[in-house]
Amino acid sequence: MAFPPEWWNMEFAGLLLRALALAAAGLFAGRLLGRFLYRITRPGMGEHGAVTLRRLAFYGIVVITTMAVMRELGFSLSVLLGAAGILTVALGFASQTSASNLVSGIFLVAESPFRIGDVITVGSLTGEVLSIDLLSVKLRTFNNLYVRVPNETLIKSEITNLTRFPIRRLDLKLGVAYKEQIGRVRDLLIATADDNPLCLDHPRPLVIFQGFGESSLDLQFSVWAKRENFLAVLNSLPEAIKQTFDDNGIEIPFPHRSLYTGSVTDPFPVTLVESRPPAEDDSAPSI
Amino acid sequence: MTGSTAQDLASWWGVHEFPANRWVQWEIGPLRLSVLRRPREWRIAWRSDGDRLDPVCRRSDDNVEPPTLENDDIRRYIGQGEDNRLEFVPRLADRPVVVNPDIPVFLPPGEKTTLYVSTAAWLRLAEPDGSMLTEIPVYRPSDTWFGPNTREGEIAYASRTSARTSLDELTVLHHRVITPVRIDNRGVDALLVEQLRIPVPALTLYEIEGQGLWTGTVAFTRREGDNTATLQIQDGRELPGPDPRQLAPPRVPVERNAVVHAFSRIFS
Repeated sequence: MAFPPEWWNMEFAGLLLRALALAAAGLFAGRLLGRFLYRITRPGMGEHGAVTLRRLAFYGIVVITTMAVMRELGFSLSVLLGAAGILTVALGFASQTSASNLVSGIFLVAESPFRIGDVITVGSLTGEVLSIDLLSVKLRTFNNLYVRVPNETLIKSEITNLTRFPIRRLDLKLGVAYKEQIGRVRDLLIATADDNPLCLDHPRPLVIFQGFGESSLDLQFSVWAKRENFLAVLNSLPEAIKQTFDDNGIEIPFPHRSLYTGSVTDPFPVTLVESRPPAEDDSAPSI
Repeated sequence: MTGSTAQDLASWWGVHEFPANRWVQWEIGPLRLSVLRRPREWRIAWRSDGDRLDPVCRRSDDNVEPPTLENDDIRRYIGQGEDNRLEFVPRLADRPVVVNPDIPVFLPPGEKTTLYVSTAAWLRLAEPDGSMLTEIPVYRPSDTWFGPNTREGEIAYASRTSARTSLDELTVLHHRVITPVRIDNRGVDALLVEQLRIPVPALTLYEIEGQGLWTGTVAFTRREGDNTATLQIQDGRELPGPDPRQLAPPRVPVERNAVVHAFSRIFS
């Protein structure tokens, strides 16, 4: 093959150069516009809104630039769109997963169940949302791991947003011995919450009777806390409850087992063994 | 602490001198504040575990037990200044305070009343040139939530009050600030006042000779026909006692005698 080929001439080289310059200028303009929009909208719209707007602006400019470059190269847009339709079908079959993630990403952005900076739980994973991209969402877990969750997984899964509302309720399950008065236990628990300045005064702390357990009266103690103080309350409250119960002689029971051999069998034989009094020289140090 | 040179004081605010390399302790109600002046360094330690209605206001210079990290919050403030003086400035809470009367209060339609409620004071420590070291609550009130539901609202401090209606019944405590709350019920039914949000950061702090710390009056007017209220913040002219002296401006700038806000749930 001769080089340069027949179709290569100065006119085509100029055309290609112009198209490349146009593409570069378009990408640069898109990036510049995105950054500008991010900077001016961040104070008002927050990180999430500003990032979304930056991406929309950038992708919009990229689409316009692509069309302009194609036109510059002499392609007809109507033919291109027809070809794009066929290409989309082909691509759809070839990359079903990516396409699914892409569509899921669009739905996620539209539905907005969480924003950048929120803490979410997806399945067994809990972490802070770092970015919401077209194909996936990036999370930082609390043990500082970077996790990429495909958008399709998010659309199909149950997502819990832990930071959507400013206050959270902490539910502590606890049991007290059957001999205790539930009313007294309730008053002590409420007083413990009232003594902790991080527990909210309103909504009021709540003690819910959960049932007669195997070895204990089961209660649920629910207190509200500011979202940022949730972990501090989760750590400090059980300690305070234990101290209050100890101070007031409230027993936290461990499981009790009664052995019963049934009515038709003989009872367990029990032998009493007389304990040996300590020998006088027991305390003497051995030589 | 034996406090052989302990001084009971009429008030704790103002500029105070501290000897070098010696702990000085202040007891202000439930707060125990210890201050140590070292070369180019202030050490400030505090704990607030006393009775919050304790009227004590005392300075001890000798035989002060040094604070410990186990019991106290201790901080070091390092700078170039050589001045041995610190200014104690009383401030108001940095969030609104939601006041719950001990016993629910009803105000019949067409009635007006003034309730006196008190909230905890904050202590601002600053060098005489104005550079602030820190702010400490004399007593840290409990957090609370004020809003129509658990999704909308704001974090505030909670306070219980006897909601006294007479000046003669008030006990002056130098670490608490009294706010007169005027309520005008223009509604058609009795108004149950069981939770009252006082916009403390928007209030000015005054000192009245012999009567402690006060803020300007907060006036709630329940509108006719609905359960919303307008809120007005007034200056110190209506306070009891002659010539209230301004000690601290509002934390949040507010136009005086203007309608600041109307809430749907001033009263719950």
